[in-house]
Amino acid sequence: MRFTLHIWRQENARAKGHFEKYDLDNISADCSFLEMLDILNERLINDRIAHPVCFDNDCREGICGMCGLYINGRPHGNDDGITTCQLHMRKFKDGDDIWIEPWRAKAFPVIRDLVVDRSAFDKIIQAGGYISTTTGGVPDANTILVPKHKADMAMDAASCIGCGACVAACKNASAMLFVGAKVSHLALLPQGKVEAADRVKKMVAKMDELGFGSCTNTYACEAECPKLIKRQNISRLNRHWIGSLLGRDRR
Amino acid sequence: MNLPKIHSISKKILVALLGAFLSIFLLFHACANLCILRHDGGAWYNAFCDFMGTNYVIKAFEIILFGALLLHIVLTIWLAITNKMARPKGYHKPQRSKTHTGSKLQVWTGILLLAGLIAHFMDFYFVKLGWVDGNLNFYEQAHEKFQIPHIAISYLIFFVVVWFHMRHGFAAIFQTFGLYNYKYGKAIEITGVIFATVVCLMFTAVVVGIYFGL
Ligand code: SF4
Ligand code: FES
Repeated sequence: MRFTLHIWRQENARAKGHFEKYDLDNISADCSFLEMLDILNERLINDRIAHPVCFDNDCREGICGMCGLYINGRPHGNDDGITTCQLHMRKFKDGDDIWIEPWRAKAFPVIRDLVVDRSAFDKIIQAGGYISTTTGGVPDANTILVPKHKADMAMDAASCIGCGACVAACKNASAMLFVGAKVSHLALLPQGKVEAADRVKKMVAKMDELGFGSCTNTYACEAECPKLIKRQNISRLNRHWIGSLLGRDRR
Repeated sequence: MNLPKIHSISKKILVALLGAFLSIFLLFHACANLCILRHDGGAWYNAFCDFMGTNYVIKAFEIILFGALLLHIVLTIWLAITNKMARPKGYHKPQRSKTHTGSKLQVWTGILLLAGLIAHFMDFYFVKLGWVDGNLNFYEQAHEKFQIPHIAISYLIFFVVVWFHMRHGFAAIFQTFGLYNYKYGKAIEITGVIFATVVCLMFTAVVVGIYFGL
């Protein structure tokens, strides 16, 4: 297959940045999107055309959340419930123009080319997205009873891989789906419930401080989340936040 | 630019609360309007308008209502600005995610609504205040206005805009208050559509009824 790539190139965080056009031929339809970029980089290096294009990636099997690229107007490209490493070139048509941009948000500044700094998410987690006690060894599974539907909801929320596609997709660059998922998966379980009120307050305050926008219920996040995290988690986040204001501390 | 700091969720909650209040008022307004359709020479409707114009509780309510409207507008503009600031550099390619158009339209339907509302006030409310000339008998005023084709059509378009704004707003209110869950999500959305439709149909009935002399 043959493609025309338009890739955002930016020397460093302060540089202006621009789109660079690359023609790429002889790409297998079974090639993954990141492999296609590897091939491009190989050619750029071997033919001494330019510095390789920098992009984040790690596991390449959809579990780490590193590979964030905004491809033709959609985070992770034109498919539902996948990360960029799970996107394959057969999803495109031969001769397609492909525009590749980094996540755009004030809280996710570009470091270089397509790599953005997502440590804002770590800061939100550090603000309270954990259980503040050492829990010791693994207890028997049935020592604390958890209703099945709660366990399921917690598990669904816990599948968030922190990729930032929700922020990238949101017209307001809001991180509410991410924070909703992180607040939910702990608050739904007995161990996490104890600190729930405190946690939600701190994480929301951090989220605001870092310059993420606020949700206006467009749900682009839900449409683009590779782990199909649902908007109900945002609703739960709101509910718990209101609860925490009303002094409904669960301790 | 540094705007005063309020938690993002507080702003949303206030917007939602005021939106809910305004929606309830609209329902009340639509119900009252149905009196116009009685062939009683405006006895009921004018009596109602009289009550609205003279009762002190209502007068206080009027101030609260305008306050709510103003605050709803100010807060949404504020939200829109802070949200714009959250993405200083936008994307080159326009977004192609599958999203709810209602939310993206909300700002625009809001702006249209405000323009429509001002036009509506020129026909009625400002007449009552004596700011513009017109018939103080609102039953007759409604008959005069809604028999003019372009005014009747403008009002119908206005109601369509109201419908869009309320349909999105209804479910959004539940989401913002954290009441949108797996169990009732669909039901909330359907109720929102029904609520917006019923309110707008009531308004439409009066305009259409007068236009066709029903
Ligand atoms: S909620 Fe979904 S889109 Fe957002 S960071 Fe988590 S996995 Fe990524
Ligand atoms: S590289 Fe790990 S999710 Fe894509």
